[in-house]
Amino acid sequence: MKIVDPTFGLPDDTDVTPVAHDGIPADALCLLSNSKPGATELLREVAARLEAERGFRDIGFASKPQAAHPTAEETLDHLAAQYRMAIVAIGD
Amino acid sequence: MTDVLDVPDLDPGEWFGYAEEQGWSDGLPTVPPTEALVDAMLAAFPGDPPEFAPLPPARMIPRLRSVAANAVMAGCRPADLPVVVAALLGTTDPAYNLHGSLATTHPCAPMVLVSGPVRDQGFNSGGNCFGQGTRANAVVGRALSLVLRNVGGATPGVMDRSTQGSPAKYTFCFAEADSPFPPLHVQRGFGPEDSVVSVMAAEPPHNINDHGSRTGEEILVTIAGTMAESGSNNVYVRGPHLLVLGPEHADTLARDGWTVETIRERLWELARIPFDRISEGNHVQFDESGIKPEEDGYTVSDGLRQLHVCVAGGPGKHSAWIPSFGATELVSRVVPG
Repeated sequence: MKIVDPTFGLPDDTDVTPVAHDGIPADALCLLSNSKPGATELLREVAARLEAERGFRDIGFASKPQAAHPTAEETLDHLAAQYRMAIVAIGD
Repeated sequence: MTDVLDVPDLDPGEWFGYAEEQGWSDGLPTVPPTEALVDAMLAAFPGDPPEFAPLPPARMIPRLRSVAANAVMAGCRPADLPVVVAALLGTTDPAYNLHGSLATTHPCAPMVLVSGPVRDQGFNSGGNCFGQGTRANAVVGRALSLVLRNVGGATPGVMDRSTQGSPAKYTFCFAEADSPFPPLHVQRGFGPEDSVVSVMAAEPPHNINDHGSRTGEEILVTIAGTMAESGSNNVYVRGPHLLVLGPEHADTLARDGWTVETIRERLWELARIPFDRISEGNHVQFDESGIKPEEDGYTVSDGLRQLHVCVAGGPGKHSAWIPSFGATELVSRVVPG
């Protein structure tokens, strides 16, 4: 039988800011905290390990104003322009 | 790009399993969205197809046909589609914060409150209006949730990260009853003749049992006590919350001269969470969120305008308080038609 695809949608064609550059390890990685209790501490610990064991340097950091609120578009654009990768704290 | 899929001919039991395997189901049986059923639903839709915004978290833009397909799957009648569409348009208002409400660990669900003449299409505003047994209530809320899952990608455990979820995530739709107070949509500037849905990322209703009070003032004391909940998002995220008065409580309040405005004012005065009911760690977290206690405790949200009031239910001395995700707003949209 023929059905209408219940998942059908058109991709959002909003422009996405391209990644800035390929340079690693300096300026390659940033952290984005969801502002849940403990998230920043966990991210900082991960960053310290990556610096000590993998040679990452100048790891950036940003956070949402509050856990329930979305990250500001400007913040995401800024991170995308500055860094190649992000470690994002989600959930709790 | 086609939106038609050729699937095996399946009997209802086989279809149930097939839809579940495809990831299209909320766990309950669905109706196959055949082209004939979807076309019949679309034929009854008034006016031009609306423009939809991208649905997070997948950021896919639904077409009216895919919304109708999910409405068919949920069990909707053609007349229900405009109500589903109005609700979907409401959730994509930036003020609703759809992405946050779908991805959060909080158990919020898209609450759909139906006001105005469209209620006569079989929506239940009376006894057990939050519960089972009424097709329109059941299928409209369910269709909205299926669209958000199937097109928006809010799959439980994947992008829907709710710690416990809630039964309201299956469906959460009810209508408001006629009452001594202006209906919610009229309070919000619509005409009494308008059919309107109001959506909010909400917890399921919290019951307010008050058989003992004899005056409106006494009932408000009980309501305020229920609202003063230390574990609510509204305490530190703030945002809207909804009081759904049962008709008997509403009649007592109206008899004693209370209005929606004075009810809000009195509840704002009364609803305080005592300082000693907040843990030390939460004092710190609230403080970091900019939330300071008043002299007699923490407020429930950040102002009396955040409390919305309507009436629904049948005989009995129960009302309900519906807290929200906090980072959301109650958004109202006219039903196409």
